[in-house]
Amino acid sequence: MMQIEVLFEQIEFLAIASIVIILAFLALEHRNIVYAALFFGFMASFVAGIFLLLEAPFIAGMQIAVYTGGISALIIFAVLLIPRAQDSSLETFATPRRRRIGLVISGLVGLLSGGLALVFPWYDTFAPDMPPLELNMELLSQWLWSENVIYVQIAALILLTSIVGAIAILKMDKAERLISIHGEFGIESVEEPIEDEATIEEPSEEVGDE
Amino acid sequence: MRLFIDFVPVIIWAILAVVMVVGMLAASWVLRPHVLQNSEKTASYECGEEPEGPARIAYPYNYLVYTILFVVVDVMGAFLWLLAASSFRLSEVVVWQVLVFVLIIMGGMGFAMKKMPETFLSGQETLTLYRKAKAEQASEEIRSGGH
Repeated sequence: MMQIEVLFEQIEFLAIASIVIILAFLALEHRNIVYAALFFGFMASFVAGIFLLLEAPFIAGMQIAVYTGGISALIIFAVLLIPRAQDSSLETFATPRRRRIGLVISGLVGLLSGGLALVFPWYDTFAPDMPPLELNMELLSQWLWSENVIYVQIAALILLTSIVGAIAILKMDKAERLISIHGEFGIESVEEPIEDEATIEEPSEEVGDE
Repeated sequence: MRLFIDFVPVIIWAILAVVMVVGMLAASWVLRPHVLQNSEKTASYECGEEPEGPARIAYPYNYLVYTILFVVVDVMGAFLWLLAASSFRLSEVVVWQVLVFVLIIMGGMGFAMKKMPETFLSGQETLTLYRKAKAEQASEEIRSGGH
């Protein structure tokens, strides 16, 4: 009975790991960038399956909430915001030489990480008297919010930095765009301002047509 | 204790969701009329107008802030969710810690809400800039003697 369970676990791991690798490859290599973002989201939710296999429900839930929900939305927004490189002169294609170099590098990285995983002393790393944090929400929240609460506050400060940085980048971008253009017909206004000038503008001529 | 086994209902639901979507797509494929596909049929629908250029354009960068705010609230929720799942939240120290945590992030949100209107390119500022440049040009012309 025990052996069947171990075998079952190994089969689960192999299935999830191969799905994750296939989805990650698709996310990198798909020609349409929107589909690539979609495959990234799927990959993130299957990584949550690996955390479930390791019996860590909180990390699995956090993975789905933050990666599948948040980071995927961020990537999709970034795809919407950047100018379309596909079918333009910005698009570059992988030459066979680049492909070979990439294959060699990825093989080296795979070998290195696989060797490290085999050599690493997993059983000596964790003290045997450590409480089973992963399955016990009560213990885990005590561990996070009392002993390591300073790291939670640091995380809050990092989030604050990201908000302030986003606003600062937008203000810099606006300052760059806010210059008058000396065009063909004299001085022109900047492109596409927000139309909050409805009260200042003269009444349009469309009214008289009726 | 096999946690993965406990989540089998979730997997069944996921499979049901996939089957549902694929089934609906297949049903609509069966039910819809299959007429000859030409460029007018396959063109994207823009209220009867001729589509001009690609449908996917670059949106203004300003909208990125909304996503960043979403991710920030998402991470905050994940931290608080762990605490909400335990009775440990009732102790006084933890209440203060949570208050500091939430206030830091909410301060950031308030800052973003306050500053966001300033990051949009406003017509008022553009108009001021335009008038200033025009006045400068006019004074330059007067100084140089007419033309």
